[in-house]
Amino acid sequence: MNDEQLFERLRTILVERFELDPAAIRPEARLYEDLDLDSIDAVDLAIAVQELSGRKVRPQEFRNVRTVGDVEFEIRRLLQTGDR
Amino acid sequence: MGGSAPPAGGNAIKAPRFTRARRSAAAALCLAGFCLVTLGALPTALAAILVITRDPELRAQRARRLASCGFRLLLGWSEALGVARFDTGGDAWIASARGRLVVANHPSFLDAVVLLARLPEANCVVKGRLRRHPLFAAYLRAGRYIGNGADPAEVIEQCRRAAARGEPVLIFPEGTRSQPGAVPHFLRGAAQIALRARLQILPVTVSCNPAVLTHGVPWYRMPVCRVRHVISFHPPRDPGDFAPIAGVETSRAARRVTRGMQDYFIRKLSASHDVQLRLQPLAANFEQSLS
Repeated sequence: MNDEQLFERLRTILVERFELDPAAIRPEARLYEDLDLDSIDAVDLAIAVQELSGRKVRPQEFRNVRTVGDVEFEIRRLLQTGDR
Repeated sequence: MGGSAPPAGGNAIKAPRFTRARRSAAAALCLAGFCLVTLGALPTALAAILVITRDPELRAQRARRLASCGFRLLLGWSEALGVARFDTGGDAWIASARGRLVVANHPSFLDAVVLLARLPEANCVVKGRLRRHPLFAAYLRAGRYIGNGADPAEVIEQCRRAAARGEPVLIFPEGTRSQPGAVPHFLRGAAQIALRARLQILPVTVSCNPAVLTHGVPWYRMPVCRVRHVISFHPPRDPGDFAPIAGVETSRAARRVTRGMQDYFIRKLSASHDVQLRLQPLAANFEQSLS
């Protein structure tokens, strides 16, 4: 999966789960302030990331995630650890 | 004090000085009674409960009943002094609160006082900051009120367990007191809890007029006329009664239910609480007494 495909997958998840405007999903968009996610949404997002990457997401790793770009980075990292 | 906007409705009521002084004095008496009860009698009783009761669940229940008893005293005391009048909508609804999520709008600090006074068994989702408040911390901990802390899954689970024990679970979906005069803005926590803990919702609309103990107003600034605090309960509803959510993912459903619930409250508030109508004759009386 290349960067563009990955970002599109992430965009689809965010739009479908959290009723967000696709145009608002940019790498620099902040999850809580700009996209109005709450703490329970963050748990749901972590689960979605888990499903997408097929890897277990540890809560402490996801706690530092602030922006859409951070989520993307986290998925990429999980996928890479899976390749090894 | 300067620069604050006139109250909504713009009734320019000039109160005679002695009336305001008398109200303030009565409010001070009210407060004195409250202090006496909260700082003297109740801590003693709480300490006794903590010493005597070993079973943690029973202990929490007794602590909550004690708090409720203190609140009833406070309400009775302020009614007796003529500072406020509370309309709590009869007793019929109290049984229907058992094991349900009691959802209320939150114009004044009094809302929690009134609801917990009327529901002695109730638990309540309390914001984290309040749990560290010097005056309330001991009660909130002893009563095992549900702290809205860092872990949302834990809050949901605690609500589920409290409801399963038959406790009404009180929550203010605005997260804090409303901005006076503004329409309620609900956060999604209440809907998330109802959906994920599978609880029915008992909607309670609250109006407080004139607004006292609101957000951003010093607690000692008292209004010129008697406070009228009215709560109305509405029939219990499933989350799905507020918006169609069949087959919808929970995080998405929570958004729909929140919007539906907020609309429902705005509708009920504008229909049932004839706030402005009550204020008008009052203002007329004032002007008559001045002329």
